[in-house]
Parts: sequence; C-alpha cells; structure tokens
Amino acid sequence: MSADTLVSRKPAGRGARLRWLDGWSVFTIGVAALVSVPVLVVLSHFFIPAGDVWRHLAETVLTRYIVNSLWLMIGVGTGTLVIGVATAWLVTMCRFRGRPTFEWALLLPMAVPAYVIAYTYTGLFEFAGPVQGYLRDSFALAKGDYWFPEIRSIGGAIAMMTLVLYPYVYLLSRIAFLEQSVSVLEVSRTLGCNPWRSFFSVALPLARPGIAAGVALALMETLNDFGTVQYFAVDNFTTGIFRTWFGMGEPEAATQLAATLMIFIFALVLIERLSRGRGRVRHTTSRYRALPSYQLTGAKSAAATTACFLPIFLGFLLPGAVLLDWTVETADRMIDARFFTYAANSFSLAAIASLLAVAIALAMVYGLRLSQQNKVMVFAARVASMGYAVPGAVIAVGVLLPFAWFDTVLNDWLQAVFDVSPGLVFSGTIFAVIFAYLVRFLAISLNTVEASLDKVTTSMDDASRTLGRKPGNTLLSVHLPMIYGSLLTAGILVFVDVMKELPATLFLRPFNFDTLAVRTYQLASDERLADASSAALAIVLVGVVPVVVLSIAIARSRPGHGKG
Amino acid sequence: MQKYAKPATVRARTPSALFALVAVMTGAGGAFTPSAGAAEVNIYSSRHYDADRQLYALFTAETGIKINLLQGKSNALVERLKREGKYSPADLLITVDAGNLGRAQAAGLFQAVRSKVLEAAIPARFRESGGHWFGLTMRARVIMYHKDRVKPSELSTYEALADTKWKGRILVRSSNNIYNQSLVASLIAANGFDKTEAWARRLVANMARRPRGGDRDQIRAVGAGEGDIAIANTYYLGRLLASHSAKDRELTAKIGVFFPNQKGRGTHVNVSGAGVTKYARNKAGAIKLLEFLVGPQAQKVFAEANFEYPVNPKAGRSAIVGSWGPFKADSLNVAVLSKHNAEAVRLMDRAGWR
Amino acid sequence: MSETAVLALENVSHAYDRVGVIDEVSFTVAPGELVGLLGPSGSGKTTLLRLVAGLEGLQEGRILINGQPVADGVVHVPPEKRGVGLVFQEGALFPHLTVAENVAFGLAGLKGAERRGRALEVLEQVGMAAYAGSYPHVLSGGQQQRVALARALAPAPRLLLLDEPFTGLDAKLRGEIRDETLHILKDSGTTTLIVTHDPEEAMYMVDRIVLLSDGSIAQSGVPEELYCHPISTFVAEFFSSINRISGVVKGNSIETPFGLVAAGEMPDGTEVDVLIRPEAVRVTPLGTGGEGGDGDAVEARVITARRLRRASYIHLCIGTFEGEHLHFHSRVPARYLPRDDETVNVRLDHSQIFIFPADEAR
Repeated sequence: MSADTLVSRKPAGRGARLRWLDGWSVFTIGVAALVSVPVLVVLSHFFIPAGDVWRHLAETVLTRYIVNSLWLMIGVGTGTLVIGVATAWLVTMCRFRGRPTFEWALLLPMAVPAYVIAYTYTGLFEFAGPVQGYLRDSFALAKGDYWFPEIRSIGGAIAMMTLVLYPYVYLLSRIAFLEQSVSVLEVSRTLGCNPWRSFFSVALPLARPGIAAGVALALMETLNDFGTVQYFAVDNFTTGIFRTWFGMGEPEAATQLAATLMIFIFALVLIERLSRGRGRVRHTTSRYRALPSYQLTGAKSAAATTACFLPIFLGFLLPGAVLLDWTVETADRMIDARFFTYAANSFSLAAIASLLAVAIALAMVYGLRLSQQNKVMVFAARVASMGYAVPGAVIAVGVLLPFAWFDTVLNDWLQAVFDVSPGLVFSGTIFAVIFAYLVRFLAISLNTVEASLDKVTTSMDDASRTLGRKPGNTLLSVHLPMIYGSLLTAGILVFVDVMKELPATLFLRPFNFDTLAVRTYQLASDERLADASSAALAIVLVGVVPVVVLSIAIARSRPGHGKG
Repeated sequence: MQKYAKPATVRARTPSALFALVAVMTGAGGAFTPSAGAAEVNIYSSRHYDADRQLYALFTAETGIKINLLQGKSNALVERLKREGKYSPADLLITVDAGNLGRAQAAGLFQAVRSKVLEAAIPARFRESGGHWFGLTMRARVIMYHKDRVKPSELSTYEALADTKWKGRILVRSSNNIYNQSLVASLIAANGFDKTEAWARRLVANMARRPRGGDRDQIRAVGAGEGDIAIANTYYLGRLLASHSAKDRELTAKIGVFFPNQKGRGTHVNVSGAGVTKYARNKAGAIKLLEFLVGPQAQKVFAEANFEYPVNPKAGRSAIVGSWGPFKADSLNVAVLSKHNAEAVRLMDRAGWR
Repeated sequence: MSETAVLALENVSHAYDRVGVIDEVSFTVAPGELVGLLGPSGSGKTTLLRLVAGLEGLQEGRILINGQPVADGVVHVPPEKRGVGLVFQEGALFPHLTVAENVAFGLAGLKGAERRGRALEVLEQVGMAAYAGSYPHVLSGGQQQRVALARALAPAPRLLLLDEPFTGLDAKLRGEIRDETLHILKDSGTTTLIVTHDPEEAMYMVDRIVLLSDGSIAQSGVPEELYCHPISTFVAEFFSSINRISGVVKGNSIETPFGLVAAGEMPDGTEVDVLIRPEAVRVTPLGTGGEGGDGDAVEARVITARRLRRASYIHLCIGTFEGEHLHFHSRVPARYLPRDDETVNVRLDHSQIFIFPADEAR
C-alpha cells in the first residue's frame, strides 16, 4: 500500500459508506428534510431586509429582551438543575420516609402548564389576592406599608417555570442514575469516596448526558414559554417576536428575532453535544444488581423528606388545590358536554403525536447508530431537532405556509383536471396540527431516545447481527425491550407537552375543534381565571395519569430488574 | 421476575398499530374538513365570549344554517387567512378592535358588501365606508376610579392623566394590547405624534406598577387599593359587577366610571366587527349572519350578556351599562385607528410603556 | 489445500480508528480448524475479526466464506447473512432475555418446541441447562461466557469467531473454561477463529496461529513452528520473555559469555541479536558434569531462584569479557532449585537459540 492512499483514506471507508446508504439513512434524512421545512421557511425571512425596525428595536426594547431572556435561562437552568438532580439522587440512592411516594410524585408538577401555575399563583399572591388581602386586614396595612414579593415579575416567572420544569431534569437524571452500573459506584466507595464524593465524582459525570438533556429541555421550554411571560409582563425574545410580528406587522423582523433566539438555543445544544461527544459514556458492564441505598435516619431523613416534598407541594399540590377550589366553585357552569369533547380532543391529539414522535425518533436514532454516526446523518438528526428551538406560533406559520401552498396547487390541479376542489386537505385539518407537534417536539423524543440508546453497548448490536437478525429485527428484539423505559419517557414527555401546547394548536386547528389548552387559554385571556380552572385542572389530571404510569414503568424497566 | 414481550409478538404488533394510526389520522383529517355546503357558514373569530355561541345557536335555529367556528387570536387568524389564500374555508372573519379589522382589510382579506339592512342598522362611523367590514358592538375605553379616593371632579381628559398629581396612582395594561394601541392611535390622530409621545412618557411615570394583566386586573387592583384609577374597557367592569364571584363583586362595588374628554372630541370608543372574506364560498350566508347579528334580538344579547354597547342605536343597553349614563363618543371614524397602529406601537416602545 | 477454506482473507487492507492500519493481510481457515489470531493490543486483530463478521465495512482486499466473497470493497454481505457466530470478551448477553431465550435468539428459523429443544441441547453441551430460565445478571462471569458460547454455537455457524473470550475471567476459571471450550469446539468440529493477545492461550487452544504485528502478519503456522522456528525477533520475543545478547559475526560464529554460537549463513561483521529462551539455559550444580546442552559449561552465580509450578526460574549473573556482569534467566525442571549466591554450571541448548540481524529488531 502506498503512502498516499493511506493518507487519503478516511476512517469510515468506501465500504462503510456504500453499506449504509439504505432504508434507515433514507428515512432519517427524509424525516429531517420534512421536519425542517417549517423552520427553513421561517429562516428564509432572515435574508429579507427588515428596514429600520431593527434600529427601533435596538434603541428601545432589544436590550430588555436579551437581559430578561438571559436571566430566565440562568434562573430556570440553575433552579431545575439543583432541584431535579438533588431529588433524583435522593430518591434513587437513599431510603427515607415517603421515598416510594416521592419517586412518582416528584413528576407531578410536569403535568401543570407554566401558564396555569402562573394564573393560580397570581390569584393567590397578587395585591388583590387572598394572601395579601388577609395580611392587610389582619394587620391593618395599606399599600406601601409592607413589602411582599411581587409574583408578576421576572423572579416570579423563574420560580413558576422552575417549579413545573424541574421534573424534566429529575426524570432524565433519575433514569441515568438507575441505568448506572452499581459496580462503578461501589468501586468508588472502595476507592475511599464517601457517598457525597462518589456522587460528585462518579455518579454525576456518568449521568451527565441525561442531566444535560434534562436541563436543555427545561431551558428550551423556558425560551419558548409564551403564556407565563406574557401574563407576568416579562418582556423577552418570545413576547418580542409576537409583538414585532403581530403588533408592528413586521414578520421579517420578527423571524429575525426568532432566528436570533434559535442561535441562542443552538449554541446551547452545541455546547452540550460537544461536551458529550468528548466524554461519551458507554456502560462498561452489563451486570446490574440492586442499587445500594443509604438508609437515612433522624434529621437527615426529615431533611430528605422535606427536600422532596417542597417541590411537589409548590409545583403541584398548592396550584392543584387552588384549581380544585375554583373548579368546585364553577363546576356547574363549566363542566358540560363540550368540556368532555375538549378533553377527548386533547387526549387523542397527544396520543397520536407522542406515538409518532417516539417511533420516528427511535428509527432515526437507530439509523444514526447503524451509520456509526455518519456526519450527514448526524447533521440530519440535528436539523430534525431544530423545531424545538422555535416558538410554537412561528412553527405554526412555517407549517401553514407550505401546507397551504400545497393545498392550493392540489386544488388548482384537481379543478383543472377533474373540476372538483376538495378544499384544504392538509392545512385545514388535524394533519397540520400533528405535523406541527412533530416539528416542535421531535427533539424531545430524539434526545431522550438517543441518550438511552447510547448506553446500550454496541456489542449487543454485533451479537444480534451475527446471530442472523437484520437491523430492524435487532432494534425490535434487542434494543426496544432494553430501552423501553426511555421510550415510555419520551412518549410521556411529548404527550404532556402536546396536552399543554397552545400557540400552534390555536393557529392550526380545524373548525369546531377545541382542546383543553385552547379552552383554558380562551377563558384566561378573557380574565376568567376561575372559569378556566376546570379545563386547566383537566389538563393537569390527564397529565398526571401517564406521569404515574411512567414512573412505575421506569422503575421496572431497569435492566435486570426483578427479584431474581 | 419481569416478563418481557417475545420479539415475535412485538414484530407482529407494530405494523398493525401503525396502520391503525394512519387510519385514525386520515379519518380524522377527513372529518374536520368542512364541507362547502350552502347550509353552513364558516367563521374565524377572535371573540371568545360565550354570548357569541348563544347567538350562533339562535341563528342556526332561525335559519337552519349551520355555523362552523374557529376561535383564535386575531393576528393569528389574519395570518392564517392570508396563508390559506383562495381555498380558505372561512366565510366570515370576526374580530375585536378596528385596528385588527383595518389590518385584515389592508391585507386584502375582505370583500366589499352592500346591504341595506347593515347600512341602516350601523352608524357610518362604525363601519368601513366600502363595506369591507361592519361593527357589531361598541365599547368605550374609560377611566375607572375608586369612589373613596378620587372625586370625579378631579378627572377630565385622557391628556390630563399626564399630570404629576397622578404619580403612582394609575393602572393600565401592557402596550402589547390592541385596546391601548388603538387608544394611543386616537390620541395621535387628535394631538399628533410628538405630543402623544410626551404624554405617554409622563403617563408611564405616573403608573402605580409595571403594566401587567388584563383590564379586569387593573379594575380589581383599583378595588384592592393598589392604585386609584384604571384605564379599561367598560364591559369588563360590567362583567365583574355581574360576576359569579362574590369577591369580584365586592372589589368592584366602589368603582366609578368616568367618560373622559366629554367637553372635547368625546370618549375613545372602538368596535368589534366582522367582514366577509374575499374568497367566501357562502357569501350569502355570511351576509345573512351579519344582518342577524346587528338585528335587535342579537344586539340585545351582546348588551345583556356581555355588557357591550350595541352599535345599533335602536337596541337598548343593559341595566348596569345604563347606570353609567349616556356619553359623547369620539366621532373619529374607527377605521382611522388602524392607520396609526404601527406608529402607536413604536411610540409606546419609545416611551417605555411595556 | 484439498477442501475449500471456510474463511479466506485475501490482501485485506483497512484503516481504522484514525491511527490503526491493516496492511495486506491474507490467511485461510480450513474446515474444522481452530486458528488463533494472535498479537499485541493495537495490532489490528479485533478489527480483522469485525471485518470477517461483517460488522465493519471492508476497504480493500477480499474476504471469502466457503469460497463465496462476502466483502470485497463493493459487495458487502451484512453480518446476519454471513453465518458466523461471535463471542465477545464481555459476553454481551441480552439482559432482558433469559439464558434460554438468549441461546434461542439466533434460531429464528426454528419454531416453538424445536427451537427450545435446540437451545437446551446447546446449553447442555456447555453445562448450563440448569440455568435456562435465569436472567444473565444472576450468572457469574464464567457462566455468562458459557452461555455466550452456547448462543453463538446454537445456529451452528459456518465459522465461529471468539474475541478474547476468556480475558475477563480469573486465572483458574480461565483455564477450566478454555479447556471446556476447546473440547466443545473440537467435538462439534466447529471451524473457529479466535482472537487473543495471550500466546499461552493461543498455543493451548489452536491448531494454527496467525501472529499479527502492526497490522500485518509477522508469521503464521502451527504453534510449535512459531515457538521453535521464529522468523524474527518480534516472533521469538512474543511467546516468552527471552534472554537477548548483542554480538558481531566473526568467522561464522558469535562470541557470547557462554562461548561461541554458530552464526549460520550470516556474513562476517553483521551485528546480530542472539536470543536465548530461558529453558535453553541449562543449569546444573557445580561439579556435576551437567546434562544436555552443547559446548562447554561456564560458571555463573545465582542471584535468586524461584520455584514456579512445574519449573524453577533462576536469575543468574555471568561475567562478560569486558568485565561486566550480565543478568540472565533460566527455566529448568522444578526438581532442581539452587540456593541464592550458589555458583553453578551453565550450558546452552543451541537448538533454542535464535540469531537475527540487529537492525531487524523492532
């Protein structure tokens, strides 16, 4: 072999490339292309000059948008990281009072949309609310006589979002802790690490991909939140996009703001990817035993119990109680046949979207694995995740544009050839709604599925293949049962997100098709918080059931779980 | 010991599940495509009041024409109509605020409609002269004050709210809201851009708190003592006064309504209205519905159930609305408001009115 | 070769992991043969195994199984169609399946009872039938490895590939399992390619060794041939620690502290390494005539002597002509164990001395 052929040869050689141009890669690239259409449609506005709007924005509000968005990210990022990881570790590795309940109950706040918790806390703690009213009456105070934390502020927004978003971090870090091989932890103990040090020096780094994925999710949700910041009057990029687009009638400048926001998020994702790529963690052993558990007693146990109870109380029980109170007050007017139609609509949309999102993500991540992280495929997967960084309303426009165009072309053609026009077949139906959900939420399932498939050693693939199973069969009979806990997780994450999703649903849904979220929003924006409570409570409750099921499934799905 | 599904079972189940899914999706897709039958009118509406549904039911009972409704934010509906183009299923776009109506018209979404019934029922300044859109209800943006802390004699005009005596006492919602945008647009129309900007800066300085919440929040905050006066739309107070919530009724019992600028151009009023879409498939049905909505029966529902002012002068007002007395409304054609909308938004940005 | 080789590699070249390169490797495995792919870590043996299994796409050359090309840079037969079995270092059992389900995994062509029957039959063969219903995580490392072997054997592969299958096990267990595996493979007549870095394991297990060095074949042949007739310093040194003396050819021989050693065909003045296996250094007590060995005995001092299982390992010190002392190792049958500091007689067995030009070393 001559020297120059050596130099020119790439690690994944000619043979490898030929080998992987198959159904899997075609699927991955195809999905990526399809899903990226709305984002690209929006991004294409980026190159249309937006005139002096930008100067106006820069002179007046842009700094505020940036500063507020940054504070939100820092605040929510830190908050969810601390609460999520701490509770996950406690619940997974320690025994204390109430632990079995906390295991699933810590997920409950995930079922509460940020805008709903914002409504309820405002109802409770605003100046005219019962808490401050009670204080004023009891101590005969008037405005200005006392200090009370302002709930509708950036601090309040951070608190609200942290309370309902920490379960993302909790969920993914708990899975990461559960999937860790116990021998690694034991080794660290024998190497002289106390439980705290083993946590920080072994468990945490090993769980990092999961934790990072969780925080990334929470941050993206933060940047995309519209309901809370709008209601709390915290101007950030998201509210800015809406204001610029709809208030000032400047779609170009608005999409340019959106593109800027996307760059924010992509940078975040990239940093996480790079750090993960370098320290790619594969589990070194397939042996699992019962996890060690530190029995906590006395004050430590009480502290652990409190630490786990507080987030549940503040993120779920308290707002839940307020909603329940309001619902009881308004039930006879608000809970009728229409209400159950909304619930059914919400549920079926969420079920279809989450099933599709998980199936597609699984196929894509597996295709990526088969291609041995081929650059083109990796890029395709990243492209398919872009939608998560784009606010729902912007995606909705991006979906509507090509769909409506396609519908028009279709109608024109049918009219010319058959003299019929079926109307809007794609853009006016729930097809468009579900497609928008996929664009928006595919990243969630991709991230989750990828984080867990990464942990299955490639020997499993090799073993299965040499035992005569094709790639697809290997996926179904080896990987699927091994990671099915994570698939459930991915499904639930998407499910709950779809249940809560508002702007895209509002924008794209067909006639006479309202969901619980839409109804909640309509009533709340009509400032009928109490009337909105039954629909809001229903979203929360529908979200709770799968959350509990999920938690049980995760505990069971740990490889080698069982009494044996 | 946990049992796992055998690979064979998984394999068999997956395709059938997928088929089921596809079937559901396509089936559902078909089900929600509205048919273009003459017996149906498709509405895009940004009005989210229960009173409206009541009216649609009445209309269907009366005419046999079925109503398909899509509610959404005004801007989103306008954007959707624009994107859907000539095959859009919508026959009628209903939205609040002349600013929004004007924007839809500017985007070429409406067609001109001539109807004797509509022209007779609606005063000229509450409809677009070319018949592109028609006001259905009227609302006044007034000053609401706490009867214990403010005397009506202290109040006069919107302009006077810039006076430093109101420092820390005024409550008003965010400039993101179209009602404020239109109010400022009317001030620009009356006083010019520079004067209005100076006014807005002083108004911001007088605010009791950073703007947040909706009109009702401002009214409640006045009731609770967080500020002394609020700028809000009339029907919100009406609804609070008639609320199911005892607390809301208690908080608003001491709120008075003041109609500003009575000695000058009149109080700023606005409409919610509707226009027949350019590509409406059921134009006749849409017009029929419009005529129904401005008729005395429907106007009464708007007034009684939603505390709005009817546009039809022949229709009466609700008792609560009536108790605030008659007032002189700004005679400015509301269609002008949308012309100044973009200016108004920028002006408020510059004034720091968030 | 009368029969078609089960496996044939023809001029296989492949770059991998950015640094590793396999360069023009060719060898064959005959039916029923056990071939060991031996080499230090990084020599490319695992990559070769993966190329054979089809887990890696081949860049250059050709791989044939039963005479049919399965990879030649254009054709790539996927692993599931190659009919090869693979056993991994860590077992790689599917954690979600029972032992029986693991073994039955590759028996997709069989149904129901037949499938279970075949799985149990193979489990019986490896002595794991009693664990058929257990999950892998309750098994010991050795048991897991047995199940892994059973799983790979169950579909009766045309070719079995073993990738360092005993490395994770402790020494005693390793010996046992190695022995069992050898018998199972020989009894079933399975054609096997086994990758290992352990020369002793290779010599124990295989009929023929292919020794790799930096991606190319250093030598191949029956174990005895590689051990007794290495063709390079690398090969000679790979099988055991070896005594090495530098010298220069003068008059067809080389002067060593042990006396003259025949240099064969090498011309005068060639710098050479003289490699002497420890067992070629015969040690006898002073005063006895000594046994075996060639040439005259020289005296050496015992630094220390250790008794291993079947041999004594003696560290010796011998004076050179330059007045320096040379540290030397000897391995003799265990019945003899000299005391420390004892002076002994040393003789060389010239049949186990290898001489290679010095520049060839490394």
